[in-house]
Amino acid sequence: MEINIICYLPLKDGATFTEETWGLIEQANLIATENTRKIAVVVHSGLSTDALKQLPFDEVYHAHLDIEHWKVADYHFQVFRRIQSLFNHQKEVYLFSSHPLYHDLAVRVSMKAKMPIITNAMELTIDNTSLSLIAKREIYNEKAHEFITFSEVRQQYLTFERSILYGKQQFGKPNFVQEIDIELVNSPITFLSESQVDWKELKITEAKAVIGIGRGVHGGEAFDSILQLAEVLNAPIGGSKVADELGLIPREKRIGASGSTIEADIYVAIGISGSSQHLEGIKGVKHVIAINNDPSAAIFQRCDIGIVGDYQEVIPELVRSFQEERQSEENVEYLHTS
Amino acid sequence: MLNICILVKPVIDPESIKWDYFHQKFSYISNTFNSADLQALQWACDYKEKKGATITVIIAADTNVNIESNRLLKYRLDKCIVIQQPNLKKWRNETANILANEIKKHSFDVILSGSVSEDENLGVTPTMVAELLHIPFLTHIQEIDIKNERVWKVKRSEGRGIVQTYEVQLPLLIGVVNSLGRKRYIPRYLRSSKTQGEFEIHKLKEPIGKSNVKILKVSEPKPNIRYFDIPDDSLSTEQRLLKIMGLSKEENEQSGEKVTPEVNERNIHFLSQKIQKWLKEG
Repeated sequence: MEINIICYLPLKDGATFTEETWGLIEQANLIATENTRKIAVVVHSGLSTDALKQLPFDEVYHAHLDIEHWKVADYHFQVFRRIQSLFNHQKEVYLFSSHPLYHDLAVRVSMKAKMPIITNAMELTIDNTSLSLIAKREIYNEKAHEFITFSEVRQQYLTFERSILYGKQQFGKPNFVQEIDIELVNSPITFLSESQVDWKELKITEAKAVIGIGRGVHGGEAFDSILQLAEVLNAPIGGSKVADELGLIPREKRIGASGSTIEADIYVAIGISGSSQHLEGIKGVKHVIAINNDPSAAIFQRCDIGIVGDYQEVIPELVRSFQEERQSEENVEYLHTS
Repeated sequence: MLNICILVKPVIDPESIKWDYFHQKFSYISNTFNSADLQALQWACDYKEKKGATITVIIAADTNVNIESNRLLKYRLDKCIVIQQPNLKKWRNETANILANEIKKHSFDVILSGSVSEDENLGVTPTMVAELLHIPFLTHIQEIDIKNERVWKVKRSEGRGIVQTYEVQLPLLIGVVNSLGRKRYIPRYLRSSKTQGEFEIHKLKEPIGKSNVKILKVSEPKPNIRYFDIPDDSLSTEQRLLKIMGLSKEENEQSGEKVTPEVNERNIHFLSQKIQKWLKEG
């Protein structure tokens, strides 16, 4: 029996493919067999047809929404239902990201179809004997794992944890690419705006870049430059246990085994030696930059870039470098617009 | 005056869970309520205090679960309805049906609940309830501003510090996150005072048929195993200990190519370019 794997591709601001998109495609490839037809559903706000023609799928269905509509799950639902009506409704597996927009959509369409859904899957495998899908999920605040499967049903809906959706760009040649036109019914939900939270309000567990300070910063005169760096990077300031005890940071900004565990893309550790408890708190960080005047500090073993030097010298230089870069970018923008 | 409904889920306190290696199963000490649901309840109580409202809490729970009703009735709610059904945990989507059927008997302007529960981490019930009631919904809401009684402005947390603002018209279901507000400490004098509100319990029978999803097993999370360098036997005990702790003074060992021993313009440029590249990657 032929199975359709239908991927609702996640996009950034409706206009670009990201690692999350390719990650979802990789998940589809993991469960695809010879009898599988891979179908992409792309609801976007400005992707080129060329980009859609290069997607690694057998069929691609796409629809365009204005960005104001694209941000509202209600409109995605309307488009998805229209596209879904084109499928032949044999056995279908629907894959979504667990981004709030796609999660809401996935639950709603599964509910409408009266079919089961497994949300926030961390891993997907196929049982060799029954050939059914087995999803691994984290439960009880990551204290346990649950292995769950669908009973024999025609449609199966799955959403994946965003943290596992990571992949490299892939190319293919779909058999056909079809654009869908739809007349939208107004939703009682209106998208107004999107904003980046200021670094002062941003939580260290939610920020993309975080600055961490430790004992090495205590008594230094260049604290202003750390604040400037925080502003330039839009990064909240956290710190080690010692920084908390010295009163440099509030208790809730402590990073480590006795504080918060962060998962930022960038962590700038200033004057932090890197105790094992602190390193535990930054285990999920992608890139660590360490600035410390002690070359034997353990943080240098964890860092991607390390500078052995006085932070009072490094940070003002780094801020100046960023500001110069911003200025030149603004100048280029000005030249383009004028 | 608004009629507010809060959906509260009793959960096993994740703090009290531990894996029993001997019996290969989980054991736990206490039950609690889903913290995001309590945030929603706290928000409703604050609203009631300022502008006046009627608050009804609806709970769908397994017959075996002990509901600490007093803990809920300390909040300034008007009514608490508990619907119990045997083996509810087995029926994944049944909670939404039970809640929606109960809500249909009343008329509410807004329904609030947590977006995701801490125990099962599913995040499906609020959306399903809204779909069954044919009302719009928004989940992951971290801030609610009231423009007027029928039009609200809500902020949705998208993660990574990005916040989206929406304007919504009531009736509506809102799923909130923990950062909606601070849970308030209920003072001791209020704890001992008489509770307010009515408390009702309805019992349902277990549905016939079989669930669409099957839990195969629940296990402890597998540990992340990390490999470290094993210190050389030739080192003294003190040196071995320092090396394990990462406090070794051997400079050449720590400072590979990724660590620069000097601060110069070239290094600063490299660092700023790298940071910008990494920021763009996200």
